[in-house]
Amino acid sequence: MRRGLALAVTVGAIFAAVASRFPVNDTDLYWHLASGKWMVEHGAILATDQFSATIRGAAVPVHQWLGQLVLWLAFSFGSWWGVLAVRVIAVFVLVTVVSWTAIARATRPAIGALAAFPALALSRFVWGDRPELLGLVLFAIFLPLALAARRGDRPAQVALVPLMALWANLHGGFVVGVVLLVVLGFEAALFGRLERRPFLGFAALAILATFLNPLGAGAYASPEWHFTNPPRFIQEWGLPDVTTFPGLLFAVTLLGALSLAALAPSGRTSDVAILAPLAFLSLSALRQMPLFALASAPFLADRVSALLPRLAPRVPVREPWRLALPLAGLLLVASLATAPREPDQSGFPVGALLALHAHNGALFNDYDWGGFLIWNAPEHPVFIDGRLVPYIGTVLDDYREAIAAHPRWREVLDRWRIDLVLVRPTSALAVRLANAGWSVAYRDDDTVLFSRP
Amino acid sequence: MTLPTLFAAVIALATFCLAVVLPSADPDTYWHLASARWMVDHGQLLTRDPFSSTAANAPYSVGEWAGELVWYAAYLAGGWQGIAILRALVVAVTAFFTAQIVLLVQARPVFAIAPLLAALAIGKTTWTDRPQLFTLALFSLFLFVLLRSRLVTEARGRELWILPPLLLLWTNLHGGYAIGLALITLFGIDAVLRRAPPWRTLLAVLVAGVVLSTLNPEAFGPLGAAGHVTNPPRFIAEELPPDLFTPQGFTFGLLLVAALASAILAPDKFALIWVILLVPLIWLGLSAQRHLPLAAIPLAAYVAAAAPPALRHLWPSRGTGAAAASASRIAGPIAAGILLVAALAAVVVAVGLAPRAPDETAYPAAALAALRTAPRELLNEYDWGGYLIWNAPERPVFIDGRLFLYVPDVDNDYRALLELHPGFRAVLDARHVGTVLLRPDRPLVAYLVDAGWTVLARDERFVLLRRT
Repeated sequence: MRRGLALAVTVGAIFAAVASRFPVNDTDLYWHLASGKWMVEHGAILATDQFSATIRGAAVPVHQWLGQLVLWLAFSFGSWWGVLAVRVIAVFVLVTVVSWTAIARATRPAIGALAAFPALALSRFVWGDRPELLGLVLFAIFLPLALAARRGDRPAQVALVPLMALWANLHGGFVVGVVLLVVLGFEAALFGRLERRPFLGFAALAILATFLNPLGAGAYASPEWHFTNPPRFIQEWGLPDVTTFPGLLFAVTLLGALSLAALAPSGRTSDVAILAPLAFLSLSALRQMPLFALASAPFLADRVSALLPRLAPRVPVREPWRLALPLAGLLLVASLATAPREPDQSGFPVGALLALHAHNGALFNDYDWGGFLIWNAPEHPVFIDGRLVPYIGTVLDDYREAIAAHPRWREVLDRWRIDLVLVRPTSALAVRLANAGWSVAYRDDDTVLFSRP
Repeated sequence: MTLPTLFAAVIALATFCLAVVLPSADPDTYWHLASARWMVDHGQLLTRDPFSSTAANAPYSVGEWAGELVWYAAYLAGGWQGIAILRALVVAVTAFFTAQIVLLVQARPVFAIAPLLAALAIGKTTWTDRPQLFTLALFSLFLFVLLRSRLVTEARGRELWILPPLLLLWTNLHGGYAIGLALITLFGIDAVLRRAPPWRTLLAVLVAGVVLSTLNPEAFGPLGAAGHVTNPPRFIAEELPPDLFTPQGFTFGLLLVAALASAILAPDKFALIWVILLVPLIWLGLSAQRHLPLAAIPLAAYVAAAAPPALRHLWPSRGTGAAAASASRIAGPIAAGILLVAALAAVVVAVGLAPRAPDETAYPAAALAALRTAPRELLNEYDWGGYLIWNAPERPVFIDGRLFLYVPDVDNDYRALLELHPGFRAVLDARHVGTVLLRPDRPLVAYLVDAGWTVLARDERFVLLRRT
């Protein structure tokens, strides 16, 4: 089915061009790169910590190993531009797939494009340079594939198996796909009649394929923890806020889906099987909001078309392939050619690196800077970084006690034998250390490095 | 009395029993009572702040003056038991009209009960002893009147004229009256879109309501309400977005998903009014936890109405169930009657169990004695401000739950002190803070102890420090 692909490719190229304008600056990218680099140098999966002082040797999640490898290989071939190129291509594929599925369900391409727009705009907030974006691309591909498989499309059924195997090694979000396959399986078993048996078999195979990863069933542990215990102190795991622009976009898709469903019910149980679980999941945290939005785009396009049949064209709209493909290609090439080649390090303690290199001792660092330090100051194992899960427990509790200068802050620094503290000058810990006689080894507007007297 | 009314009465009485045995625990109750006490003692509206040191004599919002007086009257009549009984009465009214709303669209209790209980459970977090509770009751009443007019008695619409005088009452009870005006507007939009005759009545009711709602000491409140909704103060727990992993948020999530699933599967002939109602109210509910009950009530009604046809779409019924229907016509009233008698008996028992004292476990009760001899200028926890206003009135507070008095300057200083921002010592000196009453884990407490401030009293809940 190629209907709508030309326009979708064009929309994908436009969004990819937008994505190419932002330099690399994700706080987590650095430890992903470091992990990928370690794996290539050692020829093994990075299964235990090699970067911190507080959890050295402890088990670390490996469910993103393949995504980390992709990022490292991209960096190896093209430095920061290579990483950005991965983002551009990922966004292109993501937007093209979502737009295509929406346009294909609409009576007019414009309806499909409009229906997809809130979801695509919302996806902007997850265009991070990390395996999560690659996982989101696979999620976008998974949705139409799973629905086609559910309808009895054999190639789609077959494709699900390697897709899930790939996803389980790229990013922990594969668990969402597993849940949807289970729900679709029940839906097919109860309401699917003739086409249900092959689908059930392939769905089961696809789920089994997710165990083909270095951890096997253990790959489910970290995503499960994140869903049931979202770390609310991390901004992306915060509560969906409909009074902000991203939250408003999410609300538009959620309430739009509810409204259009009420005004023009599709009656399809498969729509319920996909949208209901994702609506629930998307309400749980900021970073989950795009999932429902992306899944609802084709539904919105379909229901608007059903509600407004008069908008359907009398003759089929011709696909502008001769214009779309060259335009999209040109846009992609131009975007990549003019993309920033250096990262945006304005949020990181770049100025403190020299002073850090000149000092020895155990380091206590700001959470957001951990990945940057792993990459740029590997001689100083970090206290904590964005890999959150291995730090849960004593280390995370101690970090939160010290960074906010709660009553036990001194005891924490003493117990970990901390000699160097690298934090923001506005943090409570910085305020206390300045009054406690610690020397300032480096200071600027955004960074301060203390050394123990 | 019809069967739905009987059923609703049973629900209301059961909810009364649940609500009346809860101790008072809302930190804002205290400053509402103190405000009413001041008004009664002085025989005038409280227009300037008399309770704080940081906003002393600042203009004071009087929008809830009648609501505060009602709560104080209950306190005078029966102490904290009187507070509990008033709370339970208002909650019972809410439950009664919520049940009536759900039964209006779903006459079969077996399909109505689950969404109804979900809505009541979500509402439980707002069973607080302050004027806000009147908004919950009046919202349910307004929605019932408007929905009944729309779905049952549309041709007449006379019953809508009860709304303007209720708005006059509401506007002086609590600032949430803006939602009442919004409800009338939504039903008006529905009537206009359908070109239905009642749009004229609704417009007239809206105009009358707007005019009467200005008859309070603080007119044009909806503008402030709109600002509050679109820019909620997120550092206050109840103003945070709903959390799916709380019982309230989880239940709402289930209701929302049930609504989505039902909408997808089966048509509803009243789809337009549901869409017009649910879209803004769900958005409102998702904007802050305290608004969630306002979304839950219509959402529960929609689920009660839409779920059975959706289930029939999935599993078409095979028999008429005539025998079952006949049995329920006899058994229903008998069961409802028995339940009503039981519920009335339970109410009598529950009133006797109403707590005679508030729940003070979250407050620094043990600090009060030492506080009386400490230096005057006090820095206190935000959550304890109301408690201190009521229990230590001789001590002006630094900050309390009357947020609008303190933003932005005092609130910024409060945060700078509690979170140890750079320059916090200058703030401490500029505010002439001589006494500090905070939770023991506050960074400022650790600093002041190190700096040599004297610990006057402490326990696991608080530390009281005096500047040396």
